[in-house]
Amino acid sequence: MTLRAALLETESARRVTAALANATLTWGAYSINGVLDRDYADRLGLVTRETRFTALASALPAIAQGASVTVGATAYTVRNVEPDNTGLVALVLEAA
Amino acid sequence: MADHLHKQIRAALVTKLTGLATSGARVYANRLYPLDSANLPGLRLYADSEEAEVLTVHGPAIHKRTLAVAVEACALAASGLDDTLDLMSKEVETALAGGITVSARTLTPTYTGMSYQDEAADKPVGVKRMTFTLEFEAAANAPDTLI
Repeated sequence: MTLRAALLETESARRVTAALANATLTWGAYSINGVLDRDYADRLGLVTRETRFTALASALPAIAQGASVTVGATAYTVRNVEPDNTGLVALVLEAA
Repeated sequence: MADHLHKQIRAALVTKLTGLATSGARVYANRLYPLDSANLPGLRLYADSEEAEVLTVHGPAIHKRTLAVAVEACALAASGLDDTLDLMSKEVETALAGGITVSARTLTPTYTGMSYQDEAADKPVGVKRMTFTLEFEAAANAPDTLI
C-alpha cells in the first residue's frame, strides 16, 4: 500500500511538472524542464525577486548548494535545495 | 512660520548626504515605501525618536531635545555586499562629522552605533543602519526655531 502511494505521488509529480514546465535548466550534462518562478519580493524594504526552479527531484540527482546552473540565457548559483518529499525539488537561485 | 525643526533637520541631512560617491543623488527621507533597484545603492534616512528635558522653571518652557536619527545604507549586489555597505557608511560618517546646517547654525550629529541586515534573494540585499543623535534647544511654543 505504501509502495503504491509512493508510485502515485511520483507519477503525479511527473505529470504536474510536465504540464506546468515553462523553462529549461542546464546543470553540467543535465538539461531539465521545470517551473521557473520569479516572484516579487520585498526584503528589508528593498524591491527584489525571489527566483525558484521546481523540477522532479529524480532529474537533479545530487545537486547541491553552490552549483552553477543556467536557465534560458541567465546564469544562476543554487543557494538552497528544498526537496518537498513528494518527488519534487525547488532550487532557490541567485543571479550569478 | 517655519517648518518644525524635525523637518528642517531631515532636509539638512538630505542636503548633506546628497552627492556622496557611492549613493549619489539616491537619498530618500522615507521609511514607508520599498526602494526599487533603480534607487540603489542608496541612503534612507528618518527621525527615529526624541527625548526632551525641560531646562527652565518659568514658561514658556525651554526644551533640551535629543533627536535620534537613522541613516540606512541600502544596496543590492551579487558579491561584495558588505564591502559596499561599509564604503557607504564611511562616506556617510565622514560627511556628517562636519555637521549639518539648520537655520544658519551648525548641528553636529553624534554617531551612536550601527547594525547590519542581509537577506538572500535573486540578488542579495543588505542594509547597514547607522544611528546618530543631535542635540538642540527650542522653546515649547516654538518647535520651529533653534535657540
